[in-house]
Amino acid sequence: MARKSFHIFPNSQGAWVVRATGSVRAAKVCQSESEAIAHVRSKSAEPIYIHRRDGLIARKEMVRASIPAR
Amino acid sequence: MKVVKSVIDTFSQKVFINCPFDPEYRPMLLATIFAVQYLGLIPMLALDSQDSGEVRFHKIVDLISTCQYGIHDLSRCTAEEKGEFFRLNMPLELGLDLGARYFGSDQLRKKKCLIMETERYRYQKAISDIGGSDIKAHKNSPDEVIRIIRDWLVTDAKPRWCPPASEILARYFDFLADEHDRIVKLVWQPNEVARIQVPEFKRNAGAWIRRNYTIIANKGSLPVGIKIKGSPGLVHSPYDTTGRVDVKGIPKGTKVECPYTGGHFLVPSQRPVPTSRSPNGSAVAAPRPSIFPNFPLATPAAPLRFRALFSASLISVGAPCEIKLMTHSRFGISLKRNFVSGAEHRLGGNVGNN
Repeated sequence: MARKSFHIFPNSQGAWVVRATGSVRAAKVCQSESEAIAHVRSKSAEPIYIHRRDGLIARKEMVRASIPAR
Repeated sequence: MKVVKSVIDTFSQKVFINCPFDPEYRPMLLATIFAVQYLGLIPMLALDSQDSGEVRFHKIVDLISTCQYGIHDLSRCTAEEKGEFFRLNMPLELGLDLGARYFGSDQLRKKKCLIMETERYRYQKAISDIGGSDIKAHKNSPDEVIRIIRDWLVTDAKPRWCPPASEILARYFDFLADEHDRIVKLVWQPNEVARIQVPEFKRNAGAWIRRNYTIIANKGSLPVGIKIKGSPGLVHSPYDTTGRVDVKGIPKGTKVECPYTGGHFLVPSQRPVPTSRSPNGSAVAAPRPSIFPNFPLATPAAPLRFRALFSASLISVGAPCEIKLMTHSRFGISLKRNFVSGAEHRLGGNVGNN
């Protein structure tokens, strides 16, 4: 749990919650998963763990390093 | 050598989990195990041992007789499709648990249980005899399972550490993320991730909680060492009653480690035992325990807030100790253990917050 990262998961109302690792409170509540990812990406390039409705992790989104142009 | 207290001491720490083990229920089972461990208690499942030579019913009876608390989920008591049989294992084990409570020994009469279902009154169609019981509906949601278990354990088990359900859920998600990264590093196949065995998950979750939240792990109540009649200063470990553990000079209530199993337990009350004799043969009082903080406490590097909290911790503990500051030490925050009751985890918590 040393690295900074974010969690995105659906709540009981169907909204998507953004929460930083280590915190308890939500950083943002969005209407869709893509909106939540875009919100995190606008603030940070840290990894995002996207959870399924049952809480387990569906996938992890990383920012890939861009390949330098020759 | 007759040992009586070993079962009693861990009895109040264990929670028997009687839940379905099918893949659909797995997310809620994992959430249940994590919530119980986060509150400082020990989840016990029939899956803990998969020895084919052992009869499962006997294993379940043993589990029920050694756990004070029981969580029973009746949500799979209905068949989902035409021709499908409903599962009767959970009602059977619930019956055993209730039977132990009513017909068992004095210890078993202290048993408490939580019954969960998917919907509120659905169970009454199948088991109307428990209609008067307070049964909780989890709606097949891990969030709701964590909230129900937290509220029940806080009320009935009264753990010393009672975090809100939102915190347990947040830490559960953090653990799942760390577990995901660990498995990816091991280059497991994606389909193998879902096949992590429940005892493996339980072991990893316990280690993760102890590693990241030592304050919480220490705040959970621990079993107490077993005094040996006629041998003051020596106790049996509650985890292994065959060997003796020397706790001379260690104050009552101090958390110590079992040298045989590595488990932790609390030192029971004991009379002061003289540890040496003077040349004329009279007993000499045992030396007062000392505490050696291995960090530069008296230097300007130590934050004022930390120093104040450290002093307050020692005062609140009220242990007969003297403080020796080792300003030259640079070993981080580790502390000589087993000297002052409670000071260890308070110290760790304060350092972590600075």
